[in-house]
Order: sequence, then C-alpha cells, then structure tokens
Amino acid sequence: MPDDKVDAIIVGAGLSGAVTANELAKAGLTVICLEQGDWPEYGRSAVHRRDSEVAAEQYWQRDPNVRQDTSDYPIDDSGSDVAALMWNGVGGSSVLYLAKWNRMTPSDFRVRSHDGVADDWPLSYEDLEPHYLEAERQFQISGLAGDPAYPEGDGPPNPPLPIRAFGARMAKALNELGWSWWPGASATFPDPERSTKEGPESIKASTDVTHWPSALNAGAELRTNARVRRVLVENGEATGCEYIDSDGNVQTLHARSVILCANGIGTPRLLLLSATDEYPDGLANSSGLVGKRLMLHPFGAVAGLFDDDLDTAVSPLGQQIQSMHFYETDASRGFVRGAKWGLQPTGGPLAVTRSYPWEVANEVMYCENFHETLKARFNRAPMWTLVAEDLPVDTNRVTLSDTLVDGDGLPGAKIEYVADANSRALLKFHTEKAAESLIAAGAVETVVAPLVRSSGWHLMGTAVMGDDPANSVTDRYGTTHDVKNLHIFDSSTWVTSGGVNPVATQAALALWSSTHFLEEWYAR
Amino acid sequence: MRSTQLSPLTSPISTSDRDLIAEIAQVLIPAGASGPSAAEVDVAGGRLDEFFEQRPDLKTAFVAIASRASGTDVDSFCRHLEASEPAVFQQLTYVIVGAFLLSPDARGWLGFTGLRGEFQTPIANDDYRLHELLAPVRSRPPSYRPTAWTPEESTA
Ligand SMILES: Cc1cc2nc3c(=O)[nH]c(=O)nc-3n(C[C@H](O)[C@H](O)[C@H](O)COP(=O)(O)OP(=O)(O)OC[C@H]3O[C@@H](n4cnc5c(N)ncnc54)[C@H](O)[C@@H]3O)c2cc1C
Repeated sequence: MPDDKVDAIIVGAGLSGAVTANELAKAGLTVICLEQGDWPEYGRSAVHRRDSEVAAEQYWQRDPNVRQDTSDYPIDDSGSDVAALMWNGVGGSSVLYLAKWNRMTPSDFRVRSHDGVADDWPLSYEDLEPHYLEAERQFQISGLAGDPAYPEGDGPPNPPLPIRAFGARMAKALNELGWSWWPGASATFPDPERSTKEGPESIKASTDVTHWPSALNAGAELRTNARVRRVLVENGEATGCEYIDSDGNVQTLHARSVILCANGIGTPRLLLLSATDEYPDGLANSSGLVGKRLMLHPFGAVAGLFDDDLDTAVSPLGQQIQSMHFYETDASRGFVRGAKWGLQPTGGPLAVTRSYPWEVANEVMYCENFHETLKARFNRAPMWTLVAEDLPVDTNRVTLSDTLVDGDGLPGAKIEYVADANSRALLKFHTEKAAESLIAAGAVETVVAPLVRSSGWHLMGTAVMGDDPANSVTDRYGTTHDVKNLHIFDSSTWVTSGGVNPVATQAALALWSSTHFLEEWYAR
Repeated sequence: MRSTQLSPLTSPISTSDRDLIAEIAQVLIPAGASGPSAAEVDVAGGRLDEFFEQRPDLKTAFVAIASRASGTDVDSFCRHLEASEPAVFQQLTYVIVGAFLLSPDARGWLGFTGLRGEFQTPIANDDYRLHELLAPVRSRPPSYRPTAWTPEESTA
C-alpha cells in the first residue's frame, strides 16, 4: 500500500459521518472526512431575534431546491408525492432536525415474519440495543425508560423534558380514551449553562456540536467544501475518492477504505456517479438495487384549536409526549404497520399562517377573518405529527437527473416516490384517531393534513442491506457485497423504515457498523 | 469556482408599487378587527423594508405578483388569486404577514414577545404529577411485539 493512503475516507460529515469519524479517530485510525458543505453559521439566524421567523426560512431552509446554496445539489422531485429535505454541511441534517429521538421497536426489524410483506432485517433490536444506549449517552438524550411500546431496559441518561400544559392536557385525554402515551424523548441538552448562549447550537444535539469537536480532537481531518464526484475502484477494491474543492479543482485522495455517509439520496447518487466500464450500472450495484426502495416516512399532521392559552408558541424542538398506541399492525384496520405520534407546539405567529397543517385548513385566513383566525391559532394549537412507516417498493427510487446539475456540473438527483395504498390507508386511520384524541381533550376544531408534501426529511432504503448479494447491496454491517472495502453507514441500508423518527437508529447503526469495522480492522 | 445560485436584488420599490402593496395589504389585513390593520403598522413602508433586509431573495417575485393587481379591483384580485393560484397567493401573504408581524404594535396585540429559546429545565424522573398521569399507561401490558414472535404463536 502506498504511504499516502489514509485508513478511511468518510464521505459526508452529517449524522452518521460524524458518529463514524469519532469512533474511528478515537481508535487511532487516520480518517479524512470529505464534506461538500461548510460549518453552519448560527449567528445568521438566532431564535431570539425579532426577525427570526422571517430569516430562518432562508438560511435554515430545509428544501435544497429552494435554498440553492453552493453546497446543495438539485433534486428533481416532480415525479414524487413528497419533496426531499436536507442540510448539506457539517452536522448534515442534524443541524435542522427537530431533535425527536425514537428507537425502532423489535417488530420493525421483522416485518416479513410478522406481516408477510417487505423483508426482515439481517439484524435485530437486541443487536442494536447496546448501541442505542451508547448513542443516547453520546447525544445526551432526555427521556424516560419504561415505555410499554418497547422491551424493558435502560433508557436515556437525562430525565425527560417537561410535557407542558398541552402535553398534560393530551395525556389526560389519552388516559380517558384508554390509549397509551409516554413522555417524548428528545435530543435537546438538559444543561442550563447552554441556555445563556445565543443560537441553536446551545440547545440541540446536532453532530457539529456533539461529535465533530471530539472527532477532530482525536485526530480526524475534516475537509469542507469538498464534493466527492466519484469513488475510485481498481481490481475490485476501492482506492479512494476524487473530489472537487472550493476552487473547482479536482483532487484525488487515496485510502484503504471508503465509507459513505452521504444520506439516502447522496449515497446512491454517488454510487451511480461512480460508474465505470467495469461497473456500468454504478458501483456496488450487481443486485440492481442501488437507488431503489426509497422510503420517506409519509407524514401527516393534525392540529387542534383550543379555547385557552396552551403555550404552543414555542419552537418545536423535541416532543412533549408521544403515542405508539396504534403502532403495531392490527389486520382489522385494513393496512399493515403503523405510525408514531409526537405532540409538539406549532411555533410563532408566522408559522401558524402557513406550513403544515394550516395550508389545508378550510377556513379563509385573510381579509375579514385575519385577526380572529390568527388569535385562535396562536398559542392555542398543539399538533400531533405522525411518522408513518412506508413499505419498500422498487419503483420508489433515486436516479441521476438528466436535466439538472449542481454547481460543479455533476448531475443532480431525481426522486420518484408514490405513497402507496397501504401508506394512504395508514395515514387516514392515524389522522382520524389523532383528531379524535384532540377533540377528546377539548379542541373546538381540528385541522388535518393527511400527507404533507414538504416532509421528506427521512431518507432511507436506497442501498439495502441483506445476507444475499443477489437481493441486497451491503451485508448487515454496511459493507458492500461487490467491493469489500467500500462501506455504507447511513440509512441507505435500511431494509424497512419503521414508523418513528430515524436518528436514534441511524446513530446506533453507525456505531454498530463502526464497531464491526474496527473489529475487522484489528483482526487483519 | 462554484456558481452561487442566489442573486439578491437590491433595487428600490417604486412609489406606485408601494401604493399598490399598501392597498393589497389593507385588503388582507383590514381595519375594524380586534387588532391593528396593515396601514396602522405601516406594512407597505418601513416594515416591508425591514422584511426585505432579511429576505432580499423574495423581493422581485413579490413585487411582480403585487403589480399584477394594478388596474384591478384589489379585493377581487386577492380573492381570485387565493382561489386560482394558492402557491402564488402564499408568496404574497408570506411577505405581507411577515412584515406585519415585525411591527411591535402587531406583536403587542397578539401578546407575542418573540420565539423563546427552546431550553427547558428537565423534570425530575420522580416528578409525582407525571407518574400519576402515567399510572394508567403502566397498568396495561406491554404493547410491543417481541423479536421471537412468530405467526403461529400469535394465533395460538
Ligand atoms: C428539517 C428536518 C427535521 C428533522 N427532524 C428530525 C427529528 O426530529 N428526529 C429524527 O430522528 N430525524 C429528523 N430528521 C432527519 C435526520 O436529520 C436525518 O435522518 C439524519 O441527519 C440523516 O443522517 P445521515 O448521516 O444519513 O445524512 P445527513 O445528516 O443528511 O448528512 C449527509 C452529509 O453528506 C454530505 N454529502 C452528500 N453528498 C456528498 C458528496 N458527494 N460529497 C461530499 N459530501 C456529501 C452532505 O452535505 C451532508 O452533510 C430531520 C431532518 C430534517 C431535514
């Protein structure tokens, strides 16, 4: 091996990239992470400022097609029911995430065995449990162990956040209905010292805050504004990456292994961009599954309007309470799988004039109704958000766009995604039940958005893991079947999506994969 | 060098456009209700300038939409736009309501003192009110399906 090779290149400094870099660097490996974006500049829009609601939608814009930063690549979503959302920069989408933290349940890994559809994962809840615990320690999660929706075991290191007045109101209503709920788990620091600082970095466990300082301290190198345009392969082995630096120059970096953490769209995009004569359909794609089975968690939201002030005009980080009462399959409902409900505030006054679920409200917001409608919503509208499990379907997929290119001239991504009949039936049932619970709690009106278009914040399934190389892209540890030193540690490898927010499992899986990677490394 | 795809536009808004924007804003946020009207908080003046200081990227499209109202009955224009082009209507209302809500008078009427930082003091794990509320949940059997579950066992 030439001396200029690093042990590992990690592509993407987001959630899984940061967790992985930290593990590998602490173990003494030489690691270089290539990230197409830069560090977030929190000073550009802070929650305390008078104009924060206005400014946030530019700098903290979730849709890369709207944000159009130099770090972004365009995503053609014209053939998709749902738009893909992300942050491209150090911390990845954890910079934008709402810090809702949920483990998947045991049945989420056994959908084929339980429900006769999709596939089982080649690993189990029990395999991941120690890594969930470690991830909860690393992200300093707040929450409460003992939720009956999960097996018994230890929980997050910090106590849960207050459930607030509206959480208590909903909890009582669910108790009366005989439905289960639990205090929500959240990745918000329970540290009063931090609240005195300005900006989101003081509050939320995003990996630019939780992991990168430690990874850099342990010797990892992070190259920002470095967009990887292809993974290099020779004689069936990954030899490194070619990337474009901020001056537009092409650089080559050699490595003993390459780990992709570029997310459920960025990773298949890069594998497809890395096609060669030897791999004409893209790298690691002998199964033909790279890019296929995109899952996005179709998302519904139901707000209730109450007559009294419930203090719902706060930022929606974390979740007050959650309910998994209807999470597991019940065949009598006419669909399989379920959704987690998370109760959250609806934010400031500008937020309640638009966005979900308000854009589908029947009442006319403006003209003679403006003041009364705004008053009725502001501070009086808790909202259930529903993260629905979607099943893997080959026709829901990521391909390369043949019309759009990024700032470096590389093809953008194209996504095709149709929420199928199971997803639609599931969302109909869950939104109706969520509305019923709000009415039971005393809401005078509910506003229901059964499938929100701008909600593709969870990107999964596009380089699926499995034991059989004919039906999967990687093995259970994220190592590609076709190229033994090429790995995928992000949620592209997910077999099914579960019906909960993904970060807890993404972090646990990055730890599981990193642990195995290091075991193999030392065994060599 | 990478291309920057944003091109903030800084040209001033003409007086005639401002007059039209004032009319539109007053239709959308009228007088005679429990709170201030658009005119009362100067939406089309200082508030709009403040808004575009933050969001110069929205200015050209906004002015173009507003100028479509020129020579029309502004009230009908707004109602028709909402019904026929909801996405465009939303671009218009986002700026007008955003500018309105920058006004201290509008915020005072609503009782909005600004978004609070999200930090919350965690509750103690032994908080009795929480545990009282949770008692009915705890009294029910676990709802998850264990990994060892098989279809045969479930029907047994
Ligand atoms: C608005 C929003 C809210 C969310 N809220 C929650 C929540 O409350 N709870 C939850 O569990 N999840 C939430 N999520 C989802 C969560 O943030 C993501 O699932 C998670 O960050 C994905 O991690 P990742 O490592 O796969 O990818 P990312 O975190 O997206 O990181 C991928 C990184 O790879 C980089 N990259 C991609 N391609 C290249 C390339 N060719 N060269 C170099 N770099 C590249 C990108 O720039 C990016 O930084 C939210 C997401 C969004 C957008």
